[in-house]
Amino acid sequence: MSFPVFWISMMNDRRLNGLTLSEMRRALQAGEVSSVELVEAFRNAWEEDSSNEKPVNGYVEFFADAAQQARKADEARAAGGHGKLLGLPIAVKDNIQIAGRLTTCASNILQGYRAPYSATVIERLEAAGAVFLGRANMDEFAMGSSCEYSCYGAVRNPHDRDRTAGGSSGGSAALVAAKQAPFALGSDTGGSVRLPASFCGVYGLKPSYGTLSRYGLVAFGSSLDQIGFLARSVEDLQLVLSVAAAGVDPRDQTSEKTGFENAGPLRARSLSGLTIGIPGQLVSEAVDPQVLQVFDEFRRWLESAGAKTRVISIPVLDACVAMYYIIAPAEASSNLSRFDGVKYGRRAAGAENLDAMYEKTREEGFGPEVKRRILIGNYVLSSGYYDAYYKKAQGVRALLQQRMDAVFEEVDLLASPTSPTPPFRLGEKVDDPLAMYLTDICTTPANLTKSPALSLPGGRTSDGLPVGVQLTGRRFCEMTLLETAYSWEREHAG
Amino acid sequence: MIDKQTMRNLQKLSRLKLEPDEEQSLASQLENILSYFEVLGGYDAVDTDLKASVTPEDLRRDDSAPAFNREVLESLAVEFQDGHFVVPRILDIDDE
Amino acid sequence: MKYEVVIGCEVHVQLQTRSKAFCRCPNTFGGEPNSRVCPVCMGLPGSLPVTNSAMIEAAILAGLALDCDIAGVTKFDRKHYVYPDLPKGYQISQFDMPICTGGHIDIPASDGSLRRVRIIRVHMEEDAGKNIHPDDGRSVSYLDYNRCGTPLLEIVSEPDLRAPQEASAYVQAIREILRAVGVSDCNMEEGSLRCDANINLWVYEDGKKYATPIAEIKNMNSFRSIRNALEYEVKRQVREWEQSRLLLEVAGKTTRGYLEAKGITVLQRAKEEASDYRYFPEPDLKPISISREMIDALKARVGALPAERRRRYIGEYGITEQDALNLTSSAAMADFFEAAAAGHPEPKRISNFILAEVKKYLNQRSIGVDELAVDARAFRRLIDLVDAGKISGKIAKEVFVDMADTGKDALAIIEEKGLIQIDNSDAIAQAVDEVIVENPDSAADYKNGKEKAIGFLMGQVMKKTKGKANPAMAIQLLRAKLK
Ligand SMILES: [Mg+2]
Ligand SMILES: [Zn+2]
Repeated sequence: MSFPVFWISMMNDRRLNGLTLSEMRRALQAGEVSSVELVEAFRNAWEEDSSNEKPVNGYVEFFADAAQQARKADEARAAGGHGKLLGLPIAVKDNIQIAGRLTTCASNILQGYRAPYSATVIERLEAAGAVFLGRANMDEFAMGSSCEYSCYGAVRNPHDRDRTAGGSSGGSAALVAAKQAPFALGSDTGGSVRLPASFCGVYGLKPSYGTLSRYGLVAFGSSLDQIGFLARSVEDLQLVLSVAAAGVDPRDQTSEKTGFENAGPLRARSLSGLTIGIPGQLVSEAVDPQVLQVFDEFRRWLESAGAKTRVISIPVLDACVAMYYIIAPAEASSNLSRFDGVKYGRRAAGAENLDAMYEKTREEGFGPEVKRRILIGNYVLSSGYYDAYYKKAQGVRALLQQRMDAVFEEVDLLASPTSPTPPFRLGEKVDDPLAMYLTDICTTPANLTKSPALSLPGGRTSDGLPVGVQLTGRRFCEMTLLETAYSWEREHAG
Repeated sequence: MIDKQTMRNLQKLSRLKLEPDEEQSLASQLENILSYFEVLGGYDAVDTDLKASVTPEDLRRDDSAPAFNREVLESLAVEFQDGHFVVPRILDIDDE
Repeated sequence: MKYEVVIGCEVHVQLQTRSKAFCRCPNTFGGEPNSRVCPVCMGLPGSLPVTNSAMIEAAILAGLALDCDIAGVTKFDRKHYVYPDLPKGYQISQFDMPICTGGHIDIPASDGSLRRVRIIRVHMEEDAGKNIHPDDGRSVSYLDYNRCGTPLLEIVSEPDLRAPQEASAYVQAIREILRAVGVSDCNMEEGSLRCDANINLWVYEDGKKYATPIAEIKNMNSFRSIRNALEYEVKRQVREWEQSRLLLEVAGKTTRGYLEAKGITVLQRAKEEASDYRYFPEPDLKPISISREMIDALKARVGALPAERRRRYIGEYGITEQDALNLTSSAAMADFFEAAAAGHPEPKRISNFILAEVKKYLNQRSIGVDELAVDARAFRRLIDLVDAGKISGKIAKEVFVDMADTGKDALAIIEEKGLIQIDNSDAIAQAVDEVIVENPDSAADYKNGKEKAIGFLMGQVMKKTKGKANPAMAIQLLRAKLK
């Protein structure tokens, strides 16, 4: 699917915008395009969209020095540099820190906060030559499934601007879908990469917990968080994974050795020999019929490609949303207690004493969903309720892990829809938190079990809305996910 | 379940002060969410396993590295004076 | 009415490591404010803790030294409370799986016996920063985070202490032990050893026992202030009991601060406002498993600890419990004793000399045995001279003081002063004859069966020979001449 090189020279901005990262890489290597041209193409696309009546609103900042970074990359290439990502433009979710740049997590409480250090993943991408385009919009502190809880306003779905882009990495997904960035970093605590990937019709990978260092990612749910990728091709996911997962990070004790940095180029593989389980709980009548239809087609393709599929029952999956919405808020209430106006970020003015300063700062600084989760988190951890909620949830999480371990003895992968519905309308669930939480039914299990999961654009509804399909594997079997998705992409993309 | 007293205690733990109407709507949302959590009652908890452990030999070696430049701190701080972060007066004698 | 004082201690000790508990900032004292901080100990967004292996080692060493059981698996938890000196809003601490449990140490009790103080647990945690209240007229506080993240051990005792001076002795013993294993300098002035004490009374009245409300006393930063604060508190609680008869069940626990300048404790927090710490396992750190081999290897490094030494002194040397306790009051003293007694057939005699003469000398001059001008080998040479019959035990006492004052060797002193014992039987016989002639009454008494009279006559012989007569020879000659 790579474009013949001679086409590229004739391309206008719009064509450049549509390239995958890997195509850009080949074009840069062949000298057919410069990094500066690429960056300018994305800036133009963003500026054009910003004047739209209903802009996507995917960037909260397009870096003024993006072209300058690109120029440096072009100079480095001219001088013989050959970093794996040299000159490749990438957008970064606003909760992953780049030294010297603002990082706000789309929250008022971090207005003006300039990161004093870079995330490990950023350092690795930078060392490989990547160019950072800008900061991607998100739900405040990554809490949300629709990208409506942002202090910068909601992200709109490029496929239907009255619908949500999904969350919380909605900005990242929308930018890739709207061709304002070829690739974006997101983060995934309960589906925050995969859900927007599904809603925006792009690829989304949440690696296994421990694959990518969390150092420098502003923590939400520490036992669940993982940086993930939004991309236009499977090859791109693998390319960036091989850079970002380069070995254990001594600054993150939960990071693990994976060897993904040594993975060779992706090959399409025959699926014969693969057994793919379909959890009955995730394809029930509760799922939108149009989503089920897309998923059914995907299942038929799996069979035609040689895989065996079978519906399996994993009853405990029904408890994942509840587990998730206990554990994640508990960890979040703890992680967010550092935002008190004492040392950094925003401090409310005019507080007459210390206690008033804390309360006013947090009252003004946090939006409604963040407050809701802090309250839930403190509730489930507080004395008298800890055993019934937090401890119970961790115990059922351990049960889920046992069940999933047993399932992966019998099947190689799990397949399911990524979301039970197509992208919903802006405002539809924003006042009904529980309905919003139930959007995460298919995605939370992978976070709870630390498994890798990938959402691929499976098809569309009759209205042309994207519908994603999710593959989940056992921990650290990212390559099986990528190869399966790659096989599908070769037959369906374009 | 979520009475006024519980709400007040939660706000105290959370260092949040909600407006009265905000307090009321959040209380009913919380109640709704907490009753949804009852689904967990249908499953047996398993002992959380501690197998994923490290040994002291795997941990960080005890060597020190240079600390932050104080200018960086000052740039982060809301109020900074004489090398210190400044906050409204702490009103107790609980510190050494 | 009769009452019993009940005290339990929580001791916080800063560990002497090169770097902090969860980051690589230098772990040193003082310095420019906020000059030893980084994203991790400042709790900046996105930072993650990484455990210092030296903290785990130090905690195990301390645990072994305090006769604790070391956990096979231990983990860290988050303890939540809000205070400006706590940058993350939680402290990384240990909740339900502390690294050490169930130890004890023995200290001299107020009645002279041995008091066993049980240690409930020893756990690891990180220290907080410091608040400073500047006198610049503004209503502000300053924060210095240099101390933030310093590795701490918290040592929690059972309420086994029965007097303020026992609490002070307990904390001294902890300091002694932790210094001996080299995990902390336990410097109270610099705050590397800090003690909170829980104290109340058991009142016995009309055959019933009542417990008064518990007060937790903070801000005690010397052994003297521990003693003074608790003594004040005992008086205050007795008074309170007499006035109000307030019971523990009713009033619960309060927190009081010690104002050293005034010598009083003041109420800080009334009935503990159920502080809800919302502990949960620290998700950024994995549980740690500690192998038997590692514990055994560290055991070898713990070496001779006071308790172990005492067991040996009592069991092998036949030294009394009280003497053993005194000999191990400091590691330096025990080292001195062991070096002096090495290979000696009667270590008890050496112990007696040290506890009487050496201690007296040290006390008079308020110095430690490590500051004494006589080292253990020089001291042993003095004992050897007694054993060889060159000087008497009595003269040895004088020689020791001389040695300690001048730093000279024992032999040099006794030669210089002509103190060498008279072994010459003619010289002694002459003195004996003179004494019998000069004290006819006593001589007659002895002859008439008054055994006691011989003591007086011996004293006269020693006096005549300026203490240099070999006592065994002198008494033998006396008895022979008086037959
Ligand atoms: Mg403590
Ligand atoms: Zn530090």
